[in-house]
Amino acid sequence: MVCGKCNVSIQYSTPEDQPAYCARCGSPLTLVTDETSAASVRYGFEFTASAGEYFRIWIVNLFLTIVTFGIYAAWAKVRTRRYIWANTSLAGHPFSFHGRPAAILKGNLIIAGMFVIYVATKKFEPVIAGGLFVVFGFIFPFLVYKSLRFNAHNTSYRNIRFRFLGRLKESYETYLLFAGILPCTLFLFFPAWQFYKKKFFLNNLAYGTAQSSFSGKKGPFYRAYFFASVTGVAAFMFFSWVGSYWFDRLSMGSGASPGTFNMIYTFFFTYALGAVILYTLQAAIYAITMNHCWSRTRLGSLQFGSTFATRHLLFIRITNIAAIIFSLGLLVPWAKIRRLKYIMQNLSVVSIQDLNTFRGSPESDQSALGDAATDFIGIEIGL
Amino acid sequence: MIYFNADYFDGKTSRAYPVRVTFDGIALVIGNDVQGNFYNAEYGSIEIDPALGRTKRSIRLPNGSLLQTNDHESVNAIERAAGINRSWNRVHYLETHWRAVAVSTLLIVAALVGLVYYAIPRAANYAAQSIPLHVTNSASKQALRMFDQRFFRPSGLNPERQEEVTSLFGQTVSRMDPGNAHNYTVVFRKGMRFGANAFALPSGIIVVTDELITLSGNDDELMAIFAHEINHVERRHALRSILQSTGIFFLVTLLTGDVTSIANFASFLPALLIENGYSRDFEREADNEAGSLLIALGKGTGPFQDILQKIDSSHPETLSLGVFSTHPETVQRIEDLKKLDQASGKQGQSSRGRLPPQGLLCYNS
Repeated sequence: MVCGKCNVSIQYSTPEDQPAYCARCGSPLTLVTDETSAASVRYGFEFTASAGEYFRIWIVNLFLTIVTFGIYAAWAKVRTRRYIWANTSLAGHPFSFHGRPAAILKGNLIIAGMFVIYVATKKFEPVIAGGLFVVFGFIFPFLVYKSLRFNAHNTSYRNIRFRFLGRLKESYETYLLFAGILPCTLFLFFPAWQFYKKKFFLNNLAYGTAQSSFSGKKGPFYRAYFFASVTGVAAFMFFSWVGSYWFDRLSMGSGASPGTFNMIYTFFFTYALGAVILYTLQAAIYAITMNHCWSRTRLGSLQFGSTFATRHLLFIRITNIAAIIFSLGLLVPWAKIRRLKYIMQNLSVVSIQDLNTFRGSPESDQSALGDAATDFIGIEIGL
Repeated sequence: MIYFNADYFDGKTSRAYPVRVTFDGIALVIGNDVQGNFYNAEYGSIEIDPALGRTKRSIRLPNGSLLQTNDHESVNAIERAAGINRSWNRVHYLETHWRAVAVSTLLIVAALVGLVYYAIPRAANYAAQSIPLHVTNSASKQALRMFDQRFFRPSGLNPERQEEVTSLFGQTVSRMDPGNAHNYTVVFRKGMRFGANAFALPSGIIVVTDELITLSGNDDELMAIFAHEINHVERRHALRSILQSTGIFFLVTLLTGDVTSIANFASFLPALLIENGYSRDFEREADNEAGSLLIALGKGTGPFQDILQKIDSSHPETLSLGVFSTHPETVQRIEDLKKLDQASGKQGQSSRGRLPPQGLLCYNS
C-alpha cells in the first residue's frame, strides 16, 4: 500500500476490508497492485511501547534489584530488553530478545570486580593504577566482542536469530590499536576511529544466512566532527563573551552578595550553556553519521535508511533531561521510550526481496558450543 | 479445550504461517486449512516466554519452531495447566497493578533512605575498621608530594617553635588515640594559597601551615585543630569516604542500569550531594570530638570557636555553598560547639561515638 502524502510504500497486515492509515502522517493508504512498486517496498519500524507500561516494569525492576542487593539487575536487564524488542516490529512482526540472566549476571560481576580493583588501586596505590588501566585496555576489546556477539545472537525476528560475525582480531584493532594511537595523532584520527567502530558493528551482522555489508566512508565522519568542533568553539567563545559582558553589567547593580551571585551565574554559564552546546553538537554528529551509516548498510538485499534530524534529536534530549530532573528521576522510563520511538520511527528498510524469504543459518552453525560461548558473558557496553 | 490463532515460524525461513492451535490439556496441536494438523507438542516439552506487558506471547516448540499470538488468555491457561513461569507471573502481576507499583515506589524510597543514611555508612565504617591503616601510606605520601610540588613551600617556622608545636601535637595524640600514637606525625609547610589551614592525610600525617600557627593565639586553639584532624585519622574518615563513594556509585549504577551514567549530570549531581553530606557529617564528628577533648581538659570549647572564627575571617573569598559544600558553615560549627558546652555543663561527660562519611583530604576552613 502507498501513502500518497509521504510517498512511502508500506506493507500492511490489516484485512483488506478495513481502511488502513499511514503510520507517519495518518492519511489513508491506497492499495497498489502495480508490479513495479511491489518490486521495492519500504518497511518502517513500528515502536509500540507505552511509557505507562514501561514505567511499571521499571519500578518493579528497581524494587527487586534493590531488595536483592543488585543480583536481580541481570533479570531486570533481560526483562527491559525483552520489552523493548517485543514492542519493536517490522512489517507486523516483533523482534525477540533471548538473553539468559545468568550470563548477564556473570558480565555484571566481572564489571563490578574490575571497578572495585580499579578504585582500590587508584586510592591506595595510585602509582600502579596507570598500569591497571593498560591491563583493562587489553581486556576491553574482548569484552566488546563478547558483548556484540551476545546481543546479536540473542536477538531474533520471525524465529530467525541475528549473529555477529566480527573477529576478535578486528575488535583488538578497533578498540585497542586505533584507540591507542589516538593521542599520537593529536586526536585527528578520532572521527576515523568512530567510523571504524561503526564499521565493525554494521559490517559484521548476519540475519540467518543473510550477511550485512557496510560501504560507509570516513568523509562524512570527518565533516561532522570538523563542523561540530568549529561550531562548538565559536559558540562557546561567543557565549563566554556575552556572559562576561553581562556579568560586569549585572554584578555592579546586584544587591545579592557577590559570592552567591557569582556562583549561580558561573554555574548557569559553564554548565547549563556548556551542556546545551555539547548536546547540540552530539545531536548533529549523531544525525549526520548515523544517516550516512544506515544509508550505506545492507543486509542481504535489504537496504537500511534513516531520517534523523539534529533539531529533533536535540529537542528530545533537552526536554528529556529537564523532565528527568524535575520529576526527580520518575520520568526516566518515559524519556527512554520517547527517544527510542523517535529512533525507530525514523529508521526503515527498503527491500526488493519479500521479507518472508530469509533463511535460517544451517544447523551446524548453531552448535551447543557456539551457543554456550555466546552465552558465557553478557555485558552491556554503551557503543 | 483451548483454541487460538497464532503465527507459526518454522525457524528455517522467515515466513509467518497463520495457524490454528488446539490444546487438549496434554498437547498443543498445530494445524491450518491446507495441511491439516501438522505438528503436536506435549506441554512438558514447550517453553513459553513469560508474559510482559501487552506484548505478543511466544511459545517455543521442541522442533525449534515458534508460535506467536495475541491471545493472552489462552496462553495464560496453558501456562497454568503446565505449571510453568510461576515466579515470572508474580513479577508480571506486580507490573500490571498500579497499587503494587505504588507500594514498590514507596519501598524503593524507603530502601534508598535506609541505604544512604544507615546501611552504606555502617557498612563502610565496619569495612574501614578491618582495613589496616598502612594500606593508605603510599597514596598519602603521593598526595603530600603533589601538594608540595603544586602549592606548598617549605616551612619558615624556626626550629624551636616547631619543636614546641610537635610536643603539643604529641600531647594531643596521647589524649585522643594513645594506643596508636606511633601512627601520627605532624609536618610543617608554608601554605601559600591555602593560607591558614590544616589537613590530615589518611595514613596519619597531619599537615599544618605556618599561617595557621601564626594565626592561633594560644596552644589550646592549636590543640583543638590537632584534635579535629587526629579524629579524621582515628575514625578513618578518608577510607570510609572512599568506601561510601564506591557504595553510592554502585547504587547509582544499579538505579540507572548503566556504568557510564555516572558521567551524566542528572545522576552525578545527587551522588555529589550525598557525598558532600557524608563529608559534612565527618566534619561534625571531628568537631564534636575535638570539642569534647577541650571540655574534658576543663577549657570549654571557646578556643576551638575562636580559631574557627579566625580561620574563617582569614579566608574572605570563601563562598557559602550550602548543600554543595564539604564542610558545614562556620557559624553552624560554632553554634554546635556552644551546644556541646551547654550539654557538658549538664552531664559533665562528653559523648564519644556517632559515626557517619569525605575526600582524601580533610582540611578545615
